[in-house]
Amino acid sequence: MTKEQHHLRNLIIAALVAALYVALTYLSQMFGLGYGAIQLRLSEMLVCLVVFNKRYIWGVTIGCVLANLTSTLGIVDIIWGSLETLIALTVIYLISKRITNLKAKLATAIIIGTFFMFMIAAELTVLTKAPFWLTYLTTASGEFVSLTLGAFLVYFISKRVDLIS
Amino acid sequence: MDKMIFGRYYPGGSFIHRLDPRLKLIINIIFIVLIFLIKHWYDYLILGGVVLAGVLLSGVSLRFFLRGLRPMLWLILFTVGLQLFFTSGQHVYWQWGVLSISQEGLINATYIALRFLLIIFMSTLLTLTTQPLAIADGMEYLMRPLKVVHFPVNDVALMLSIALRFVPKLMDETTKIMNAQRARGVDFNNGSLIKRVKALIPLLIPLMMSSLDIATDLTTAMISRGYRDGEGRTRYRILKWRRQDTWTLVTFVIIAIVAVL
Repeated sequence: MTKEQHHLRNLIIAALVAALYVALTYLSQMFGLGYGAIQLRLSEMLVCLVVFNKRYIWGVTIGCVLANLTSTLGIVDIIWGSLETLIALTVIYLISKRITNLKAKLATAIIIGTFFMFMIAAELTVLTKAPFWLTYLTTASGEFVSLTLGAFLVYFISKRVDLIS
Repeated sequence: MDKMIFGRYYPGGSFIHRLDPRLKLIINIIFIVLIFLIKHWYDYLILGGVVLAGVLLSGVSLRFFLRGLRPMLWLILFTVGLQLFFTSGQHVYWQWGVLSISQEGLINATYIALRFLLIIFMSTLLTLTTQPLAIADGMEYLMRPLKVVHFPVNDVALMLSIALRFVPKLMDETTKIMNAQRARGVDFNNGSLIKRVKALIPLLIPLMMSSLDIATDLTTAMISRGYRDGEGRTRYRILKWRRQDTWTLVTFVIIAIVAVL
């Protein structure tokens, strides 16, 4: 494959991951994968893919844009929520690149992904004057659970599926 | 495949339905900025009038808009309650320990509730009257100026259209795999959290595999047909900016300026 063709392949894989993100978002809603107070957002597990290859940054961000098309907060979520995803994913990629151990990489993804929820909390605070720290606590804990479970799932998937090349 | 058309689109041919998606996106963005700029009660009245006019013109029953409030209901009640009971002010109507209802609290709470209502109704208006595909097309156009800062607009456009194309297919695929696993006795809906997460592994591995397979096939197909890059790619759906779009934009901008002044 030439460099150009390799680039095209990465784009298409990213696009499929985006489609998967949207599909999983809707399926989580349809099949009620929430468990009591813990809402398992299945699509968030795809965030953990970023530790394998840079191309997933675009995939998950675009998936996030498309899934947010139906969000109640509309345009704010489409722009700001997707920007949050893009920034968080880029940081996860840049840091995990320097780590060799897969488990440590995934742990980094969980921590950084949870940390960046402050952007969503800030969105809600600015928009609705919701108290920042409380909003941060609730959104970040939800994200932490989703990402932790996601990291487990991605870990097992990576044993069977080639996510890197 | 009917249920696979995701989104909340409500089919119709009203004036709002026929407006250009780019226009609707631009108006939505200006509207959010406005919400932050306005300060007086009569400004809220003006924006409320705009939203109401939009709702009436769209021909969609109010029920669908109210349904949009549901996922946010708790957040709304919580923040409004917080403003109502914890704002300290000069004119206190009622007090119990740290809780008090003051004139200032009442005013703040009303403004917050209105803000929520206006934002949610406006974005619901967009998603109810515009198909997801059209919104994505509109975003693609609006992203074009970002080329100046070397944002890969063409690549993003390609990924957006491929992703939209394959959402229904992957949802089909997921349902199929889920049913296959159910027939083998996997229970996705019961058991402890750990158990349910474990049940997802045999669902996600084939799903991931087939996504990568689709990607490989599509890459081969596109390369063998000589796909180069997005520059000069022609489109199947072409957005048309009509005279009514210009007039709507002009009217909205005039209203916006009046509201801010």
